[in-house]
Amino acid sequence: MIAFAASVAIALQGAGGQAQPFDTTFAVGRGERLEASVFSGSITVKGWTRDQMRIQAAGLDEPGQAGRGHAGGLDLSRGGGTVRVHVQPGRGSGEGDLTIWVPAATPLDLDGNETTITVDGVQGSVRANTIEGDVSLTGGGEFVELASVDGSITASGVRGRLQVSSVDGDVVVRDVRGAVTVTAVDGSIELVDVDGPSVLASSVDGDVSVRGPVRAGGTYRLTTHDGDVTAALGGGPDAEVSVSTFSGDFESTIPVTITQSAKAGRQFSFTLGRGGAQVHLETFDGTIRLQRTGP
Amino acid sequence: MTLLTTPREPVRAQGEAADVALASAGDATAFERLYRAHVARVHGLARRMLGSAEEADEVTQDVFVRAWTKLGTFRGESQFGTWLHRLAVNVILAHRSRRTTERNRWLEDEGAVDLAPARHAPAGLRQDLEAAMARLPGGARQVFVLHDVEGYRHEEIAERLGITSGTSKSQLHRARMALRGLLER
Amino acid sequence: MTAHWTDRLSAYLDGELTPGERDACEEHLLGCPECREVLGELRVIVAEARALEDGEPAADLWPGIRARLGGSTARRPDRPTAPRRVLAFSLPQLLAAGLAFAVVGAGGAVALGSLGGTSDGAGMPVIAPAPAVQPAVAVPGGAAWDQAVTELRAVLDAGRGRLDPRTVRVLEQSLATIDRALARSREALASDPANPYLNAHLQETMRRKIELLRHAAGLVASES
Repeated sequence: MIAFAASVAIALQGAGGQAQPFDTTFAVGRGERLEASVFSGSITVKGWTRDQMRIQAAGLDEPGQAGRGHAGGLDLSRGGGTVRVHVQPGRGSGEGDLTIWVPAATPLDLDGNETTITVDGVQGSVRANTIEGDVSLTGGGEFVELASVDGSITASGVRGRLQVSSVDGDVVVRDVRGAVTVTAVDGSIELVDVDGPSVLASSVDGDVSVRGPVRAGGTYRLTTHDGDVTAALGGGPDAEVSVSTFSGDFESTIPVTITQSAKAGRQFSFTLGRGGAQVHLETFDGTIRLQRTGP
Repeated sequence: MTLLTTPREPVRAQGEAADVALASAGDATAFERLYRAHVARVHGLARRMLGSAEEADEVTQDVFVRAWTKLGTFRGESQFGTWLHRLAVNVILAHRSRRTTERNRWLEDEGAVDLAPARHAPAGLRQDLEAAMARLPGGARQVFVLHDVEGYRHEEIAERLGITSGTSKSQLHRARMALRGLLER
Repeated sequence: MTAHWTDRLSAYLDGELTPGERDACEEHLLGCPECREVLGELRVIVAEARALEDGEPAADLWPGIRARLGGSTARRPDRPTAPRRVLAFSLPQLLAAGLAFAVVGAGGAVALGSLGGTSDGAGMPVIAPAPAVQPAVAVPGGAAWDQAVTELRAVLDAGRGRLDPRTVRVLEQSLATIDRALARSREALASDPANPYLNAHLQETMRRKIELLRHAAGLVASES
């Protein structure tokens, strides 16, 4: 096992004591993980076909500003099958922009505080968590978990289970093959071409929409308190649909025959085509729209 | 650019803030890391304020036990080190006030400076200064340590010690003049 | 050398004289080598005091401290190797809240589970049952939920200083959003207590509040 650590600080000083962009490339083994954190700045991870990891850092502290002799504030170490790159206060201001190229299958664990996280072209599991900042992912597999408190989240091309959590920010999810769970408090949720056994999207204040083919036997549950819920369904659609609202409206461009109704027409259900999938649409106070989409 | 290879050192992933959070959640291992990082500073303060290494050992333990139980009140508005330092000053002062022999220290101070020559001859001025500080009367020593070593302002010292800021200033001058006398011998 | 000026040398050194006093003191110093000497020595003392270095105590004090922490561990369970990310949930308050969460969550699961309905077979009109709700399972506003909210709220309030003010603002806004939703749901439920949707919706919104508070408490515990 290779071990390297704090000497990065020394390497950073370069000629004339000026901070230089940090750039290193090294071979990694199959299945080696990446753990990266930036307190303030950005993390960008790109999948490539080489069996190497390349770590580039910019915007780090000038050596003169860094605390306790750890110029640049970058902490790099490796062991236990994990490469760790951290830009955190205590080793400097915690500011920086990391760009990391990884073998596409590398499992990722990314953390930020005031940090934008962008991941592109990877295939392994991804956990990306920031507080203030957007999260954007293309690719990812197995289990993908994305979270931001104050920022938008977009994910596309996930081949695996996807879990997204946003407090204040919109969520857009496209082209996923796997179960999807999205929660937002103040933010809209837009799901396009999501094919999984269950698709659950819930906001409190924001619109929720799903667009794409309905999977046979799939469960779809779209709920919000204050916002519109739109289901633009393709693939037949064959689904049992239930609609619930307290003071909202229901609009459908698909002819439906209501088979059960209660509460002055605001809670009802019906079957589209041959049924099969379960679609539940719910808003306390908004419009529920049902549309047909695609072939 | 090459990456030098050195023995691996522990990764400080989240730095001290994480240890503070962990410790406040009950992680004694994280708290031990905080202890290791700050013990010299706390002990140094206690030793200088109390003028005794043995008492400093005892009070340093008190400070960290107190910090452990009070961590929940640390609001993160300042650095943990700053918070701990203030807590340490409180604990040290409370300890002093418990020492009955010190009860009337401020009254006794008049003319109480021990000007007997130091018995040993330390190598450098700083050791001399440390030894001389230990010979100051308690009140003057506290003001000197808080002001000149620790950088507190007179107003703050006055508040902590329950004296006026004028008293703090005159004690400081007395302490400095006494040290000058002790160091000259 | 006069006692008057000697006594003012510390104040002079610390910049605490008024401009007039300072000028007078400097004038005196010009003509008084003794005072200049004293001033020089005080300067050295002050500079040396600032430069004093701390040293480790002669003995390792940690074992003694560690032993005394034992008495406090009723409040602070010792979890030596817990991973950092789950630490938020080690707080007793959060554990308590977790229990309450499980109760409320179970109610939610009942409502959600009922969505699955049973299909009578292909080709037949299928009646999808409205969400079955058992209001008795998780009483809206029940004591466990109240307690969980109170305790998590206390964790957030105590630790909000560790979070970025923007984050605190976002969390507070979102909590307010949920509170508004709760208030409206309760109001609606008061006028229509048997409404299954409203019961389920209120439960779900209550669960969301606990979820957000737990999230916030987790941030407090993991951030500086």
